[in-house]
Amino acid sequence: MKRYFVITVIILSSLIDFSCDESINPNAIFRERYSLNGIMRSDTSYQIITLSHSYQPNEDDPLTYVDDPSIQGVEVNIYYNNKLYRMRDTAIARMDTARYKSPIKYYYNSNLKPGPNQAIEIDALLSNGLLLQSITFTPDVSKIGFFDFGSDRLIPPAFGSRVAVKWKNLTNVIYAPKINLNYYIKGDTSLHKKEVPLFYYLNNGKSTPIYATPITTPNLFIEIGTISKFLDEFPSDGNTKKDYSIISLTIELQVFDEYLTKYYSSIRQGIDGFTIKLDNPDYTNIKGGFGVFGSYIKTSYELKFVSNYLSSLGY
Amino acid sequence: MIKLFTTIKCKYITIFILFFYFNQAQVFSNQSVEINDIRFSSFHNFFTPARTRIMLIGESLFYLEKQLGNGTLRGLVVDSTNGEALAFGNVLIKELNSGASTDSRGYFRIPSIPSNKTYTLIVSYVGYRTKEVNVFIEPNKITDIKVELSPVAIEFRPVEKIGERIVEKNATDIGLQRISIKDLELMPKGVELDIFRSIQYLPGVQSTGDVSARYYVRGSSSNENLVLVNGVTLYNPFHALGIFSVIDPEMINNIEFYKGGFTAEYGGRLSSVLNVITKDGNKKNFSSKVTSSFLTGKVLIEGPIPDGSFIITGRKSYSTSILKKFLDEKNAPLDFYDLGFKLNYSSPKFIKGGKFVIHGFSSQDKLDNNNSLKEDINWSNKIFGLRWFQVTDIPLFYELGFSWSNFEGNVIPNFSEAKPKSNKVNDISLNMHFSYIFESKNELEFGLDLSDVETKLFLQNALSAVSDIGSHGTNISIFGKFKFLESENFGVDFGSRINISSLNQAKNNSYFLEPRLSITYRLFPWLALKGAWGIYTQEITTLSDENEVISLFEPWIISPSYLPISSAIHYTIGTKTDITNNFSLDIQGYYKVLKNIPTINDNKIVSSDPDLLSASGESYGWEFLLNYNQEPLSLTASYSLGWAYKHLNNWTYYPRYDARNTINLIGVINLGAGWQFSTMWIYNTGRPFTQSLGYYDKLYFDDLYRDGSLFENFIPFSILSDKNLGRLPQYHRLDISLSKNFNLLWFKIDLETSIINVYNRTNIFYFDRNTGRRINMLPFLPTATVKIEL
Repeated sequence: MKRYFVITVIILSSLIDFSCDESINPNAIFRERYSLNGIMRSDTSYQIITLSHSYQPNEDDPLTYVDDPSIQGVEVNIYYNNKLYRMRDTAIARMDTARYKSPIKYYYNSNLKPGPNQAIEIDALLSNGLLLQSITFTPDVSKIGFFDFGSDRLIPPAFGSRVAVKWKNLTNVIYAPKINLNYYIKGDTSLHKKEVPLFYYLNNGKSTPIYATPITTPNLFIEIGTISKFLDEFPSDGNTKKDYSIISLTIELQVFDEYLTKYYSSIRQGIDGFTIKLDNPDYTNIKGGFGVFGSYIKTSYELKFVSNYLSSLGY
Repeated sequence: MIKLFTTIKCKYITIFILFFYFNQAQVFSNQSVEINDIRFSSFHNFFTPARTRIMLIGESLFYLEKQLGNGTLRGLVVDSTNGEALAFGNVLIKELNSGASTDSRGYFRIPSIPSNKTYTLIVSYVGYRTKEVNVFIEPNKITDIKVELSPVAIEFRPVEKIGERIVEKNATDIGLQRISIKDLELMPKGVELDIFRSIQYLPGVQSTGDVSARYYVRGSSSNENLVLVNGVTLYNPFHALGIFSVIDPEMINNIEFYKGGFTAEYGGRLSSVLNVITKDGNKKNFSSKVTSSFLTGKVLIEGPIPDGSFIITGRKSYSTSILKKFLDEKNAPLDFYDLGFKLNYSSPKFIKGGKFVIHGFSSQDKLDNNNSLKEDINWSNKIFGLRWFQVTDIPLFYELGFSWSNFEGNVIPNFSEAKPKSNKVNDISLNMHFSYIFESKNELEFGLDLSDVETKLFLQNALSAVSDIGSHGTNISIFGKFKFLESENFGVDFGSRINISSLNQAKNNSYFLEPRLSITYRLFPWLALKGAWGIYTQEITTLSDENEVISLFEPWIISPSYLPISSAIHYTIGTKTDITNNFSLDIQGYYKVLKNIPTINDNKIVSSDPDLLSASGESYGWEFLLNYNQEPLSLTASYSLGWAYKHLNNWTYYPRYDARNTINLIGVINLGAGWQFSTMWIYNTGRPFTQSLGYYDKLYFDDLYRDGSLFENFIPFSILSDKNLGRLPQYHRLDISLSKNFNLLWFKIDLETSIINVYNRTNIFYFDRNTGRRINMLPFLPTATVKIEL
């Protein structure tokens, strides 16, 4: 028995020598790569492009890298409707200086307002001779054709407790909706907007507003109960309901192009809180680099309020 | 060799013809009527047609051989205290120096015994007192015997086991590992005794770390392993995010585990088969056990019923604090249970030689966050089965089974970012297996397996795009195999599965036949050469993302018809060397080719992209297993050297479960007076991981209405190097366990304390690229269990 005990102790002792930690090098040999991001918007003529290089932090945590990787001085050109739009570089003050302290550097052009169903191309020639290229095709929103069932653009509808706003579905696109209340405040001539929740989630007696998020389905259901609750709780800053003039409800819709849709899908995996995924695949439509060059076209649909409805709520 | 096969051909060609034309075997009807009258008095009307046909075949074979004048010994070996079958025990006829091992039901058969003599039968089983029984063998008859073995207290356990080389010289069992619950109980238990974790210590079986009970066999992924409970498929055999198996070891009688090269009676998976046979229950007395660990509480109740017995086992989690050690200190509000029962009935008044079993199993896991901003998850398994096992007056066994297996998994997102998912599998199966033993010791097995499987999968991606995938199919397979065992030193098991219809209705189903072959040749009394070859197919798969190290939702679906049926070819060779009575060495080499493996499409972005792509793979390696058993010491050492590759989209990479070198050392010492000490050391070279080529700031936006959304929403994103080309540091861990059993009043008490990772090795689990944090596996972790038996 003693012999076995001695053998066990010897084996254990020798194994404990093994117990030292072993470091891991999670990195392969670093080679600089480049990223270009730009989303062409139809609701403005001020278009923005950002350019940056990849980096290898000295420590394992990438957030310890604090040198702004933005790249300036690159020739960035956009081609739209057979016309060249040269992007200029500039910078603005950074709001969040937790990581990078320097101003945000970007490229802009203030004369480009894309329309539907158009191709927009971009290229950026880096100082090392590398060319980043991409193209986007703006969605053809002329085909969208909003309509609603039974309400005839009125809130509340003659029948039922909700307004079903629908539109014609386009292939492989995402719709980013937003419901806005348009109103005036007494003594103020400017039209104000406030986002209206899609519904309220009630939990343990507390209601939480839930706002519309990007969707792929071509419809949106507006519950009259939600609108009523929102309007009931709307007055703020010491104003009363009589201080407001409620005008309408607007459903704004950003329609993403195919590449922006794919990119958005890739960054919104909808993973649960316990699943651990190691190697996340990346999506890009930038030839020669990473990032996204996409576009969206904005459109909207307006619903009017029935005056009796507003007066019943005290407006 | 040619001579051997010529002998087979001449002797059995008539028998095969009889089998294939058994529907027209009316020429034997006079004999069968007589048999029928004797055996089917109570069930005559109901069972007559099917049974008559079965008996016709058996009787025909029996009469063909009868003239030889030898006798057959058939028996059942059970525990004397509770009547529980003792599987894989040894039975030896002393005078002939030949014998057999008991099968998973405790039965053994020894044909061709010269008759009109009394023999001494030696029956032995680890942990039981060896028994010698005198038995008289009558000519042309089957002599039935039931042997009861008495367990010996652990402190007085003598050397009991008769070397297997004596009893099964030509067993065609390459790739098969038989594990009794006694074997399992000797190993360090850790938090809970777990069969999936225990089989990971066998050579050729890999895990991806302490945190998961998933196992990978010879370079195949975990969804290519078939898990059967009493012959019924269990689809998701995991509790607690895959940390533990759902099969409570308390309900297990024995386990058969094929690492590869499995023979024709098993189908439906590419890699391995784990067949768990549960206990029948105490046939003599009512008894109960209560067990408590840091994680669960368990109850077992068993006892006799008229002409049978029952067993009910239940396990429920009551504390999840220890799970934090597995989940990087993350709080997982898990709640799980499992419940199993088995009822068996066997009465000669009802049907002589028949045994009827009703069994069921249910498990459920709930992860209830109780927070509307977090998702809730649940998954459950349900099994129900009926089996009729029949021993006849001729050397024919048959078993008929009907079963239902169900799996359901749901992700309920509430108001989290998770999206709703649900998966449902319904599997209704019917099995008929027949086994006939010839006077010459050769065996013929054939049967029919019918599975009607329905899978439903509902998924919603981040953009609320819905995938609603439903599929339904019926697999009908027949199998037949012949075990040539009449030569003392040479054994062959050859046969094939014949797939009459497939589940997924793939257009290019080229696997109508799945031939299998297993050979053993004993070159010297101490050395056997073994080999196996076979083709295997699989038609149902999980949507498993191999990039996920912990996964909550792994739905099963019938492989889509746009993918060809998955297939594998196994080649295995090996030797079994019995160096001394107590010292054996097994060496096995394998090569496996995998084709059309459904693999999740990483680049699926839009709904129209396919969920699955077709990959292929190959693996090969060598396994060494050294066993030493000399009371009071038992030592097992294993070493595996393996390579695994996967090919996808013209790219070849190592899967995460590819470990080049693996060493497992297990030692158990009986210290006497009820004390037992066991220790286990595990080592493997680092597993593959994908290195980073650096980071770039990736644009994440969720609201393009907001000004500045293109300026501030950048988060570092890792640029990946070639997939899995890096290697993590080597893994090793030492576990020890000390147990004591004693009697207190009417209770038998087992106390066990274990320490996982004694020297607190920081084995890396994964590297979190987003934070640069290294997540380690289990630290130094003491645990304890107490078991009280009445």
